[in-house]
Amino acid sequence: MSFATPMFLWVFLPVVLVLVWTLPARWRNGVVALASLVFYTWGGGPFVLGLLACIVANFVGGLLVDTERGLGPRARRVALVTVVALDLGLLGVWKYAGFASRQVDALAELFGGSSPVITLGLPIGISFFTFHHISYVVDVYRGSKRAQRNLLTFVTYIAMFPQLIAGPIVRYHEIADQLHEVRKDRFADFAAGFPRFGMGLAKKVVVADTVAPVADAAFSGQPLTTTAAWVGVLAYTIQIYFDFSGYSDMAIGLARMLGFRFPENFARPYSAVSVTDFWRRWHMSLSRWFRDYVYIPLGGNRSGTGRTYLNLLTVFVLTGFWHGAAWTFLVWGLFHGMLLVVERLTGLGRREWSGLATVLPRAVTFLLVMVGWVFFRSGSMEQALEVLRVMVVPTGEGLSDVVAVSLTNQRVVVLALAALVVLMPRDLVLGRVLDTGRGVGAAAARAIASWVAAPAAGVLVAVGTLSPFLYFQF
Amino acid sequence: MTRPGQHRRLLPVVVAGGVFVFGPLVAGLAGARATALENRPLADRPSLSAGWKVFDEASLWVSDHLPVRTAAVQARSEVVRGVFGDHAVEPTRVVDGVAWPSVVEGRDRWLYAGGDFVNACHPQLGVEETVERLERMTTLLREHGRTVAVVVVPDKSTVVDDGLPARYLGRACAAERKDAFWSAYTGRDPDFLDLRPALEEADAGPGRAYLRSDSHWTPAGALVYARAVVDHVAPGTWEQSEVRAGAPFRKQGDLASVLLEDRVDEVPGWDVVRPEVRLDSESRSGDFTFRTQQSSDDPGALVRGRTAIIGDSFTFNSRAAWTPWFERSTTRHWVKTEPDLVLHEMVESDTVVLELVERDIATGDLGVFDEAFVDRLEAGLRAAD
Repeated sequence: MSFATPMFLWVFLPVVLVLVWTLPARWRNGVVALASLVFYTWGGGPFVLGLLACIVANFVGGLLVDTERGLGPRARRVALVTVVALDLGLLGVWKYAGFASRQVDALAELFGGSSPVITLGLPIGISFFTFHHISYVVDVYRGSKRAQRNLLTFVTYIAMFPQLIAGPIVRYHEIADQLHEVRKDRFADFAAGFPRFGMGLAKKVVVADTVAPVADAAFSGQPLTTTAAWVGVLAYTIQIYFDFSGYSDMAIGLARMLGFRFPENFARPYSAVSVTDFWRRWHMSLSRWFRDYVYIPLGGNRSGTGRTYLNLLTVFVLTGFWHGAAWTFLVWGLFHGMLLVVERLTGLGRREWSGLATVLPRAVTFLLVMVGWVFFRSGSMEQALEVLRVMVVPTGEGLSDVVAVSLTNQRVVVLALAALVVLMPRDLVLGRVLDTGRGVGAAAARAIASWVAAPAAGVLVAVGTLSPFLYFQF
Repeated sequence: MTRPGQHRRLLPVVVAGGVFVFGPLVAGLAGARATALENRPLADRPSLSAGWKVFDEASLWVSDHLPVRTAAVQARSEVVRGVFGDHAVEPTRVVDGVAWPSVVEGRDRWLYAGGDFVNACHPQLGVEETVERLERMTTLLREHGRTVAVVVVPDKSTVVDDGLPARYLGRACAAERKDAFWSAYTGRDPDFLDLRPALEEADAGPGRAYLRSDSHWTPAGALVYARAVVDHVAPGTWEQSEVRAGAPFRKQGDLASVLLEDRVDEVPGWDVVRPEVRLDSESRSGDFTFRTQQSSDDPGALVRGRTAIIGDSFTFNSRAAWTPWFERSTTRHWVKTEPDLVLHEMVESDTVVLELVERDIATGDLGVFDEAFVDRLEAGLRAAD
């Protein structure tokens, strides 16, 4: 079930809120867990059984690796490796088996043979709940948190519907204590969560969905001119930010309405002054996950310069591959990893900029990020290289038909206004203003998000001109 | 815990959230009901018998029956039209990753069916094979003694090209395919009629040949169709009648409706005056079948015997123009009627008129008239001999 649907907004959400508000406070986790499984079943159908099996396996695994359990270090380590291997194995089979089998088939073709190609339906949210599971067992293994002994509470953490299918990735130690705190002030929680949710909904349906057809046109495989390619890539750059950060805002707002606080996921990434800075601001929960569970265990930056670069590249190739089983995602990750290495080598990643001096690095970073999105959005490496070629080699023919036709007045205006996000001050993060801001400005922002943005988005949802969230496929 | 003073400050946001989240549910419980906005009934209640699909059915039901949906559509339409000058909705059909508009707006508010272009750019069958199959049908019918007329209704974009926008998707590929089709079709078979010259002539008149916001032709276009058919199957009959100006013809544009716009086209109407012909009976059945029986003391006034008119919405929209010419006619909609009934009608009739539209036939979409149908037609004609 998508958040931006009438079913979620006007049936599911009100029912869940009424249950949370009217039933005894200690029942909150149970209501959230049950609602989350219904939420998942709505979109995932029978895959919910697979989700439940994973939850049970990791719940048991958590108990086995718990430091207080009394098992010896070796047994705990074996249990950890087994559970993580199970999680990664399931992710590998469902998400990557098809890709791997296509590569084998392509290789076999080179020698005149063929190999069967596997086609599996991807369980929605598998990338996210797998990472949640790994976070849980590793945190418990490290002793930073105790194993969860209540299965219902564990289901609440793993399956909590605000983050279940598109994040943010909430590491277990970030939320473990909240699972046992039952806040009483539902009024304040709702007041704090709704503006954030409304703003996120507006970012998704008012901006991202409006400009999506322009990006779709540019990446449809039709011939492009240079101008059309740039317009299309800009549209996608805007779309993916507003879509994904909007989803994160909705998730954070929904969680808050239910009495949970999620970590931030975005902090004005398009104002970054370097690619290093970009990754401190884009999908922060994923970056933190990779840092804690991959980069640092690999040795991080404490095993020599060469090893540090190798670790960086490894993490970013994995980041790319996590987004999708295709060469384009892998190259996107590699592209960013290489830029980070270059920034480390040159010191650009650590350099402080201020005032007008930020203009050039911001522009260069934005440009590099746009180039990266070409790989991310393209259906194949051939298409990505063709789009990049057209962007670089001027065609001088104005807009191609396919993009020109997609540019309605509304889309042009929304695209232009949304693109202004690039020019906004680096430290003005609207999510933070809505959540913790004080004074007239913050109050006005909350009022606008609640009385203007949310209703405007609600109108679009009710009309039904929607598209699935981009991140569902990951 | 928040203090009461803080609660007061939070109240406006809570009220906004409450209205947003609970408003539609409360409106529904208070008796507000959704109205059908699209040209289809509202979704049925979900049924558990649908298995896992019950969730999709429930989502559709909620979307359709949302009490505030009509107001939302109106609000959005006002903003999109009033502020941006765009259409309220921009329905598209995605083919090979490209979103093709369902309706293309041209100059002076002329609207064109998107199918005119997307279909031609994604042909299903080669031009030669398409025309050959059509030719096989007409040849068979002729060989078994039937009088035949095949009409391919030119797309509005083919005749009214002065209203086309400066740029639109598929301009080049659609033109190329359509040119190839007309080259192969014209003159290929003695019973293939080409209405383009006559329609272009009619289009130069005050009423134009096609409606501005509808996919169909005007009464003037319908007369071109009727006359071409009558002249072909019973030469000289048309001259025995009078066509004179009638009441203005008004029609709500079907293409405008797709854009959720309420546009009515008004063009000059025409009446076919045939005092020597008596309408003895007419009937219509629910399966898009229309029958008439007429008589006349003048033996040359009517196309004699039984006539099957197999067509689509163009034929049904032109009924007033062509029914006065046939002694016993049965009109069937080949898209909406069972193929067996269409076949039966063709076999049992003395005269067969077959009407198809360019946006389908030019792209190789022959609908029910596939190889198997033509084989069955051949068998049926043999059996009837």
